[in-house]
Amino acid sequence: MSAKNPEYDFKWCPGCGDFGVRRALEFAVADRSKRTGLSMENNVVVAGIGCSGNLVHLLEGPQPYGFHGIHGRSLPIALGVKMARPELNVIIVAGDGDFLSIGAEHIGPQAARNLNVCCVIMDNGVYGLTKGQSSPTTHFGQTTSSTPYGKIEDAMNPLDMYLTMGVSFIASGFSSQPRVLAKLIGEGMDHQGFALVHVQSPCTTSMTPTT
Amino acid sequence: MQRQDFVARFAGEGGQGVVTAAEMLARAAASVGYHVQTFATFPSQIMGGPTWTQTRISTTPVLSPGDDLDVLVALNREAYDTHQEEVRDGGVVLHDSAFDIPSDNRAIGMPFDELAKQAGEARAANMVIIGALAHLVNMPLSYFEEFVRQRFKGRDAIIASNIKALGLGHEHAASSEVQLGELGSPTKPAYEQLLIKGNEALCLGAMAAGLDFYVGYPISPATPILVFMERNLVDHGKFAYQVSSEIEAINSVLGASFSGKKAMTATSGPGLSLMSEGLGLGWIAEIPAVVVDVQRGGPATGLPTKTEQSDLLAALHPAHGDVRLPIIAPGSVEECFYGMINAINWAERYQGPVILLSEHSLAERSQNILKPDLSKVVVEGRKVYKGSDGYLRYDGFEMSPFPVPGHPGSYVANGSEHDAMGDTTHLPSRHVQMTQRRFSKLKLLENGTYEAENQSEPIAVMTWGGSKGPTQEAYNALIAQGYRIGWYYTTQLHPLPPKLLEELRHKELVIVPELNYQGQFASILRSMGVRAEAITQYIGLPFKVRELVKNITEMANSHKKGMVKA
Repeated sequence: MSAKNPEYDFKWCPGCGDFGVRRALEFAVADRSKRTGLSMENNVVVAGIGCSGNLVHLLEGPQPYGFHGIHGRSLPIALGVKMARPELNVIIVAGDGDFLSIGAEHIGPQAARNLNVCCVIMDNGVYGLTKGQSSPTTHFGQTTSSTPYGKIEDAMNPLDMYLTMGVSFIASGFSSQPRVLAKLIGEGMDHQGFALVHVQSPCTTSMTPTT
Repeated sequence: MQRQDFVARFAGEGGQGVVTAAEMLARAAASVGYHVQTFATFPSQIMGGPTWTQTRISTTPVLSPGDDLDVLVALNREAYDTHQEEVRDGGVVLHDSAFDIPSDNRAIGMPFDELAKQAGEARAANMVIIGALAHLVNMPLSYFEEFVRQRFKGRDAIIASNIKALGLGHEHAASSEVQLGELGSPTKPAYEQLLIKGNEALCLGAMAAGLDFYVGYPISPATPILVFMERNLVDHGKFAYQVSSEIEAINSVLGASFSGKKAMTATSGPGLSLMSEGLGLGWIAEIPAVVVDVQRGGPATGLPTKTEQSDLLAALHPAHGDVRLPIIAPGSVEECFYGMINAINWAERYQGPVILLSEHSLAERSQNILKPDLSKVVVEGRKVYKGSDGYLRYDGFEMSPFPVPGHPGSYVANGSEHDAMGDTTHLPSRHVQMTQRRFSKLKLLENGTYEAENQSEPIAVMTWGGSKGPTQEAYNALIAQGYRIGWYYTTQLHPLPPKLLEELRHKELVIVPELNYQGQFASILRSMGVRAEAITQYIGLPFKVRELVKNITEMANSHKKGMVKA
C-alpha cells in the first residue's frame, strides 16, 4: 500500500533490490530539480511491465508524470514523449525481461538516434512478477520455473550489447548503494544523448544469481 | 451527338510510363474544367510487371473509373491480350506498332517511340499518345499544349518538343479516320478545384486539423503519406519521422499525444496487426491518436498493391479486452480530406484512438475536388486540465480534461487497469467503472451525419468506404430504370449516427456491397439488429457498376417483397 494512494496495493517483496533503485531515482530527480530549478512535473517516467515498472507508482514526494505502458515498449513511448516535447526530462524504468527480451528491438534504433533519455534498467536475472521464469540475463544451466532442466542459452551480456550498439552513455550500478546509484542516474540524465544505467537489482524471492 | 464521358486505359509494363500518361491526361483534362478520376493497379515490384491505369473524363462529376473502355492504350502484347475484352463495342485499341496483334478492326497501330524521337524528345511518347486520344474525341490540342507549357515552364526546348509530339500523335491518329465522337466541352467551374490523390487529401486534411506529430514505417499503399509528411510537416513545433517498426510508430504516437501533441501514424493491414496492443493501450490509458489503415488485400503480406475492404472487423476490434474503436471510412478523395479532419477531432474529443480506413484504390485515385475552404474547417482542440496537483485523471464515468506534462496535474497514464489517479488496481468496482467510462465516451461521437435518399423504401443499399462511387453510380442507374430503392451512406462507421441506425433497423433489407469475403460491414449491421446482406467481391479490384446493378437487382428481387418498379 502506497502512502500517497491507499487504493494502490502493489507490494515489492521484502528486501527487493528495486527499493534501492527507487530511492536512488528519487534522490537523482530531486537533485536535478534543485540544480535546474525545474519543478517535478517537467519529469516524465516511462515504465515497462513487471516488478520494476511498478516503480512509477511507488515514487514518494512530489510526483512526476508517469506512463506505465505495455510490455517491452517503454523506449518507443519515450521516443514519442521526447520528440514531441524535447524540453521534458524523460526517464525510463524497466527490467531485464522487459528491456532486453521483448523490448530489445528498440534499443538499437534509440542508440542510432542517440535519443536524449535516461534508462534505468533493473536487472534481477529473472521474470519476477510472473514467478521465476528465465530471462535473457539468467545464467546458462540455471533452473527456473520455465527451465526445470536448466537454461539452455548463454546469458546475455547487456553491457557488451549496449557498447556494440553504440549507446553513448553506459553505466553499471548496484541497488544496495542508492547514493552512488543516484549519482550515476544524475549523470545519465545530464548526458546529452542515450544513457543506460544498468543496475543489478536482485530478486530476493527467486534468488537467481545475475553476476 | 456529343459524348459526355470518356474512359481510357493505359496498360503495359511497370516503368513504361503507364501511370504518368494517365495522370497527364487527367491533369490536362482537369485543368480545363473536366471532372476526372483515375484508377491505378500494379504489381509489388520496383520495375516491370503488368501495370495499368485508367482515366475517366466527364462533363459531369465522376463517381467510378468506368466499366468499359472507349480506348485501350496497349504498350505491349500482353497488355493487349489481357485488356482487349474490356473495350466496348465501337471502342478503339491504340497500340504500339512495334509489336503485332491479331487482326482487330478496332486497332490503330502507331510507332509511339518513333514519333517521339521525330519530335525531338525520346521521352515524349506519352504526348504522342495523348495527341492521338485528343483526335479520337475531338478535344482541342490547345488544352494539352497549355498544360505542357505550365508543366515544363521555363524549359522552352522541352515544351517545343512535347507540343510537337502532341501534334504528331494527333496527325497520325487522324490519318486512320477513326473517331469516337466529340467529347462535350468542359464547364470551367466558378470555384477553384484541385486534382489530388486520396493519400494526399488525407495528409492535407491532417495538416488542416492541426496535426503536430507524424511517425510512420514504409508500407504499401500507405508509404506516400510518410513521404508527404516528411517533406511537409516541418513547421516550428512539428515533427515527422520514419521509425523502425509499426510497434514503434503506435507507441511513440501515444507518447507524443500524452505529451500534449496531436499525433498520428499511417499503415496498412500488416502494420495494423502489429499495432494491436498499442491501440488497446491508447484505449485504456485514454490517449488521443489517429491510425490510418490504407487497406490492401488478404492477411499477412497478402496483396500489397491491390484493393480490398477486409480490415473493418480488425479495425473495429484491433485489441484484446473490451475495446471497440471509432472508425471513419472516407469514400472519395474529398471525403479523405474531411474524414481525416473528423478523425483527428474525434480522437481529441473522446480521448482515445480513432481508425481511419482508406484502401489502395482510393489512396492511388486522383480525383478533382472543390478546393477546401480552410476558414470553414472546424478544428477541435484538446480539453486540457488547468488545475493544481492532486488531479484525479480518471475520475467518474465521463471524459475528463487532459493534463499536460510540464504543468501541474501529474498522474500515471496506465495500461493496467487503474484507479482515478492512474495507479494500478484489481478492484472489481474499479474495472466496472473504468470499462463503463471508456465506452460511455463513445457517445461524444454520436453526432455524425449521413446521406439518405428514398427513405420510405423498404429495401435500401448502403455501402461503405471506397465502394461508394461505383455503388452510387449503380444506385443512380437503378433509379433511372424506375426501380424503387433507398440509399444510405456515412463515413462514420462506428459509432454509427443513432438516427441512421434507427432508420436501417426498420428496413426489410439493407444491401451492402463491400470488397471482402465475409461481408464484414453487413455482419456488423446484423449484430446491431439490421437485416443486412452483403454483395461481396475479393479480386483485388473495385466493383464494376454493371455488376453491382445486376447483383443488387437480383438480391432485391429474391427478397419476398422484391424491388418493384415504380
